[in-house]
Amino acid sequence: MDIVGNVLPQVLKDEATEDKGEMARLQSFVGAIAVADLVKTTLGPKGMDKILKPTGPGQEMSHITVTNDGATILRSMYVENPAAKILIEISKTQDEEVGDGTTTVAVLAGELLREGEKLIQKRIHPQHVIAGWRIARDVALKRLREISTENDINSQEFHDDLVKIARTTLSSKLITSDRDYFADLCVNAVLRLKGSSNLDYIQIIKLPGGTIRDSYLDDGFILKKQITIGCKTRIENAKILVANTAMDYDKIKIYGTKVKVNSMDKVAEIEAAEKEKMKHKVDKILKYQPTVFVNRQLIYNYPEQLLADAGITVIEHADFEGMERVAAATGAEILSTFDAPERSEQILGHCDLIEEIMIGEEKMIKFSGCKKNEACTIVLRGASTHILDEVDRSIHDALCVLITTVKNRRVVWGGGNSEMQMAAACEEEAKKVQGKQAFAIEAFGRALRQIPTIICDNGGYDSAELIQNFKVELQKGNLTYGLNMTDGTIGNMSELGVKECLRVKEQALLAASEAAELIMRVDNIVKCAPRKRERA
Amino acid sequence: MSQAPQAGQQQAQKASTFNKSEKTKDIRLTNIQAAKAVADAIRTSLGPRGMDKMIQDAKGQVLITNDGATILKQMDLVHPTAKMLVEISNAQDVEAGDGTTSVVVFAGALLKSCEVLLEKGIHPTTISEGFQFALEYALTALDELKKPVDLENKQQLIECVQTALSSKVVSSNSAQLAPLAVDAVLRIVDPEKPNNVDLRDIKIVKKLGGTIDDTELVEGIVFSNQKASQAAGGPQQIKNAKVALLQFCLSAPKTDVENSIAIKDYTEMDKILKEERKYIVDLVKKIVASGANVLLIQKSILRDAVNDLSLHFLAKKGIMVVKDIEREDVEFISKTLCLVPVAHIDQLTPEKLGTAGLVETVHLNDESKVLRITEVAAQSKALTILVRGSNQLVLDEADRSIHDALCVVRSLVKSKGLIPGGGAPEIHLSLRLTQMANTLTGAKSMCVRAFADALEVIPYTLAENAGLNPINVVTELRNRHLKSQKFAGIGMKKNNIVDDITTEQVVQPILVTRSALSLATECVRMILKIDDLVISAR
Repeated sequence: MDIVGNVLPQVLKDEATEDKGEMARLQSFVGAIAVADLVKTTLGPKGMDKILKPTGPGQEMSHITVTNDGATILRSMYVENPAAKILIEISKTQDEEVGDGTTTVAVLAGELLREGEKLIQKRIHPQHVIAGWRIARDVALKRLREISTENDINSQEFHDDLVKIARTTLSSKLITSDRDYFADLCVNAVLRLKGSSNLDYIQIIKLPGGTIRDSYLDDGFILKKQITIGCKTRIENAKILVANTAMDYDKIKIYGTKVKVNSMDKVAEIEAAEKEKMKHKVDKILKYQPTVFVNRQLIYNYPEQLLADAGITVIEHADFEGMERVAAATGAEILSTFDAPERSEQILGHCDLIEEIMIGEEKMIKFSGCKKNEACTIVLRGASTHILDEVDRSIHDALCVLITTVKNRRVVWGGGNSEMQMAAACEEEAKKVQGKQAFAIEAFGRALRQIPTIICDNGGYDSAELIQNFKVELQKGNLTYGLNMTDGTIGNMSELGVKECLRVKEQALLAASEAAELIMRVDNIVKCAPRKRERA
Repeated sequence: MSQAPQAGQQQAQKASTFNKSEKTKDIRLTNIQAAKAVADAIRTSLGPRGMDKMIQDAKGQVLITNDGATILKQMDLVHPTAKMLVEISNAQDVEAGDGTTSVVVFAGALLKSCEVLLEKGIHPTTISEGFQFALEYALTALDELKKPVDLENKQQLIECVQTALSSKVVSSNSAQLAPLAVDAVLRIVDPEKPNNVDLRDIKIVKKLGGTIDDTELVEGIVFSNQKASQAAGGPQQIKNAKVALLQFCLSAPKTDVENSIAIKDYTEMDKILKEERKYIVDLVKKIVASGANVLLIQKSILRDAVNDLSLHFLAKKGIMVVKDIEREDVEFISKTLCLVPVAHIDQLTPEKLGTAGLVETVHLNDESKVLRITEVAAQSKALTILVRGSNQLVLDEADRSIHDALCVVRSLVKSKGLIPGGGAPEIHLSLRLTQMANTLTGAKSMCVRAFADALEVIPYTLAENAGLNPINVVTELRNRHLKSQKFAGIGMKKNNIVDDITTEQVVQPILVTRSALSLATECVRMILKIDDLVISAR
């Protein structure tokens, strides 16, 4: 311990650090803003992609990701700054909650902090800033809800809205040029779910080869497995038994079991007995009278043949996920024991047709006309796995947003319209509030307005001019106006058909302001001493 | 305490002085350069006069090939965008099987023209949209050159395959290989699904020795690794064979649970031997009863497939035994011989057997032997191509070339259209796009024009590789196409421009070009959209 002079006694462990007051705040601002800036260029229809290149040795090194999805970028980023981590966290939450707007939420939080920093410099106490932000948030939220519209779930308008929302979501992704095609595809897939929010029913199969346009929605369930040789490859009106049982051999799982006999005949007898046991199991399965047998584990040749001889189509080695999906789609129960054939009605799954199909070079099994008709499969084709992965992420985003919309049904205009309206609301409010909070409320508005500004900048347009014109249009009462990113002008969103889901915006606003508030309150950062690591 | 904020501040500085255009420009340029480097590396192997590459892998094995997909697969690339080009080459291989070099060369050319456009200050997404627009137009313009294909017209198909093979080592054998590939694919087309074929139904068996001329199409199966057992004078030739595919073993019984036989004295040992003998005799008797005279026995890792005793008995009964059949081959065998595999002796019934006119061990012109099963039933939907070659390298390359040839026929089955080869379609598209670009205004027009220019890389490279003056050739071709000779292309036989390339029988499936254009454009658009490289933790 240092005893020289006026040095404070050491409280923290060696190598542990503590930042206080301004220093701590500065550090969090810097981290959060840096993260926000990184993903900011991916925002909007003209946003750019990033390559994610993993560090470290091994196979992982070779796997790169090309993406535009904010959540994916942030999730895989390597950061140490605690504030940056908070931003990453809210982006993740946004992803789980609504599936889209993951970039927006991080950028909005970053912009809020940027404004916050200026206020702090003006010697406004963080608590005042926070108080102001809270007022601003409520005002913005109120306005957001006011401008949203709702359509009846069964109406044509609602269907159109869904297509428009899907288009808007997809417009910032790689598949933007095919967004009409994919928007329809996603809407059809989601509508099949009939209000259920279980994404598991929508299966996405990725196959390299072909072009993105060759992707399609299949109204059946597709299993990426093959039907065993010697079985029928086309079964109509199939009764499906889904099982997870050992069909190789029933082995006693005790280490070192051993039989001792004194003649070759006995060995043959035991072998026969083993076979008999398997046959018995197969007989039990047959009692359920299925026409198709799907097993998670492998099926040895012998039982396979017995089943095939009984005219049953056998699918072996369906993995966990595949099996669960089959069970869900066809309404089957997954069995491990076969002692209740009398319940076979409830246990067996059902579908109208099972057939072997060929996509690209792969053979797959298609179940169509399943009991639970919600199930469907999106088959994605594309030039490379990178493209496929990115399309998968985009489709997933779109599906999430659509499902959220089906639940919530309220929509707002896109193209930066909602942000600008919220900003306007904040500014109006700022005029009414007394005290220092007004600055913070104004700042909140400015931060919101940054979102359309960034979208403009990403498109290489003159943001200052566009945003000012935008403001004027709104002031004139043209409340459906927004950014037209194809031409770089201000246009009527109802003509362009750019719509967004209210829920996504709400969630983004709340999450971003909460995160910003959280970071703002910080005035002390304590970093624990790192665990000692061996240098490789 | 001081270190962390410093690092933070540095980051902050970086963030505040984060000049978007500077940084993103750099990233974009390196991406483009990396991709271009890959394209340049394989450029010289394009076309009939293209050169081969010798690749030595990490284990020191040498590979000589002209196949773009194979070269790229072997090259150990690290740069992310370079890897993306490898991927599209693979995708092209899957989709069309041919044109794997063209797709990369074209993507490289497209990226090169992007560089110019970016320098002009055109926004990447605008370029990307422009390219997509150009692609769609090009694909419709491509149909103008399309000639329908009649699958009955074998001559036409053969010409097409010959074009594909012309760039390979085996080009001198194309007269022989092309009909072979056509016959093979046409044989397995399923009348119920006339728009696709599964190439897995054609098995390519490689056997070292002889020359490529000895390559043949076998309507049946050829085993090069598995032999008919010669123990106890087992038969080597069987006519009117009844073939059984066994998935059980013809050896002493073995249980799944570990077992051991304990004996006490000599007599008991004798007894055991007798029992084993009896057990096997029973098995053999049942086989004889079923009428099978050729047994194919699946390889088992748990126990011996056959033992001397069973071989002996079977030989005495005049039954041919082939062991070590791989699990993967079971499906193919059952398809070819129209048989059902049998997993237990009790299930061995006559209707599960397949028939073949002749099963024999054939001595090839050199020392080696293969087992051939021929004269299979008419409804058989799978067959074998036996490839011969004087050394392993030639053999492998022949294998790849035949695969390409089969793919070409398959693409004709998939989309029944032919277009001329020899650079003619590219020049045609380039001209049409330029014309179209003149009717547009703004950045889009520039992009379409750039796309058109990039297309010319294919005839340019073809000419260059053939030792012609590429500038003369390309401008001459443009000229001819402008005079609406839309089939003018580079003919390699005379090494000159031909008025109608189809008279030289240089034709290719439309699917190859179509998928090459779409894949390359898709990939370039993706590369264009990238503006940052993030080092991630995972």
